Amino acid sequence: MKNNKKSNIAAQLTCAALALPGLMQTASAGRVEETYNADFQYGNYVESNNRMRVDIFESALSAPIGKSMTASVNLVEDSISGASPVFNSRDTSGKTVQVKSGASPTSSCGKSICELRDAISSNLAYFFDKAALSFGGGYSREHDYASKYFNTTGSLDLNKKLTTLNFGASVAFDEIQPSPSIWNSRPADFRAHKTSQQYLLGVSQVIDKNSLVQSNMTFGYHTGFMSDPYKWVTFYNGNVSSDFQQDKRPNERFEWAWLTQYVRHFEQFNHAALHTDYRFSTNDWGVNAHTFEMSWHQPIADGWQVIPRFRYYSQDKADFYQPVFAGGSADYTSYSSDYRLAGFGTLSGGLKFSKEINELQPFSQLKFQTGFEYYAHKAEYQLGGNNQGTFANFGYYLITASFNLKF
Amino acid sequence: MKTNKKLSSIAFAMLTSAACLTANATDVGQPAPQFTLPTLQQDQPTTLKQYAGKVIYLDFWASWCAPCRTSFPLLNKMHEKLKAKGFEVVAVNLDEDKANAEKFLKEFPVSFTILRDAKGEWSDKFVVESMPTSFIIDKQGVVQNIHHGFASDDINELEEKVTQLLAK
Amino acid sequence: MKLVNRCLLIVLILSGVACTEVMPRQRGNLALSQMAFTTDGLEFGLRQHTAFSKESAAGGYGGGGGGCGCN
Repeated sequence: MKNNKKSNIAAQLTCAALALPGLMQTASAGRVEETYNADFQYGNYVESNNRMRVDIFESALSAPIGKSMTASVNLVEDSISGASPVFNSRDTSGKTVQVKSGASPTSSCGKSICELRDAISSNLAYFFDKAALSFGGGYSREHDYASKYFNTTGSLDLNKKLTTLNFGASVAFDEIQPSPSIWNSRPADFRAHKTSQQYLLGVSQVIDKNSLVQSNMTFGYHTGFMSDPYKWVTFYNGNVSSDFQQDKRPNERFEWAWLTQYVRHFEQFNHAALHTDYRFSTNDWGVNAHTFEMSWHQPIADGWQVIPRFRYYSQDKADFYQPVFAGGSADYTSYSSDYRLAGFGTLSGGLKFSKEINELQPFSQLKFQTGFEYYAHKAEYQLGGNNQGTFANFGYYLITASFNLKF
Repeated sequence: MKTNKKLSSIAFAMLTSAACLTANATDVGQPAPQFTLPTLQQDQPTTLKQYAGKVIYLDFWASWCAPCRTSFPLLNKMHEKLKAKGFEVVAVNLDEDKANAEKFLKEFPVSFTILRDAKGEWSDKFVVESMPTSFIIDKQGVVQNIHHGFASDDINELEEKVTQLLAK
Repeated sequence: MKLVNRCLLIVLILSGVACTEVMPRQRGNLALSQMAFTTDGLEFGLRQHTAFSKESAAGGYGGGGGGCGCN
């Protein structure tokens, strides 16, 4: 898993700004991290209708080195099982239905998808007086997919540390070797590659004693094999199925996103904080998306915090997406029926609790957090409305629990 | 035309940022501003003049500044070690809410003097550019060292400076 | 307006806005843990990875790809 984390650089100005593949959170103590940190997290992800289910185990460790450096390492294991949509077809009444992979008795967990993903990443951060620089890399592996990634981030404080400029660059080299299955017609020795690059430029700004704003722009460029090796596309001539092909996407994609985050402190509500984000993203596959997220961090007595959260997301369909296609595959350069490239909207809401205990020897801080989130993916939630893709609606819930030690 | 506009906006931004960096910082070699501040616990007014003839470590701190959690125990040790030789630590708290400072002191009890400058009136005269900032003031009331931030290694060089000034 | 000029303008405006003079000693509220842009690093990573696996948008926060066992 790419850990998209932000580095908190200064305690007096909590300016985080970057989250790129493999970047880890290094908590802060002034300008230099002087405490050791250990984090453990468990996540449970369950989709509706007996689709996918994932258990996530993650741990992270960071340590100060000398006066100006922090080193950290992160390990993740995802245990994935269940079923997943493979293609769409028309039923006898002409309605589009989604066909999912069925349970396969030959897979080790008794389901059609049974997968284990392990990833390790590490990072070294160096702190100067008014700047910070970090370098990191990692490796992620499942039995049909491996990814190596490297990243670097930097930040520069200006204006008496009221303004911080952030930049980041990352690159990932992926290798795909699809496993033999009834949903994969490629030869067993088929191997493909993908290279992804991403660049971030951003600025964080202290507006006043109680509010902060951050604005980041990212540019991404991907080349290589980006089709889904287990998904198929159906073609119809009138009401008769005329062709059936594996998912075929372009081998190049350019994307751009602009995120703005605003954080505000409310002393009158027991030092509560409001976080609101808006992100616009677009790519040359025709997918424009809007993401809007809001959370309220409410301290209650004695180190407890309750955090309700809400998120709305809407995307347009990709240029080469259709639930089912008309004609034959020769008529199109790219084609996909993957529900993730369709037009849809999502609404999600969640609640999180956290408890902080300070100075419990030998730890300088212990923090426990647990949260629950429900997410609904519906075609009709798309901005502007859409009642074409309702056959692909689904939902999921995600439960997380973690604890963090500082010593 | 467009480049001119760009250049003038850059110039404007730099000017406004420069204006924010107020001048009149108390520099090394200058006499320290003669403050009068109340103690945190008893609200008793204390002046810098009371410490004439002693070497003072003047520390501007707040409960929310993470490096202060490192500095306080180390400063306390240094104070215990050198107070007999005429060394004093005076820590000026800048918390807007006194309760936060008291909570911090419960976690990190110290034996040196704690004063309070809630409105920041005197810290602004010294120009506290980061949290914490400390000033080592010699027996004649002249600032001899300014230190920004705090990492646990720093205590060694600070102790060296203090010992040098005590010998003078 | 060209992208570069737009970025430059944003930076300049923001540095101008800063001059609602916040002194270092006044940053107590900004130092609270709930005021960090990311309050829970690991959870943030997990939620981003989940969103990235089910949606097409990427970036802003970084949203990485990588080791995508997405189905």
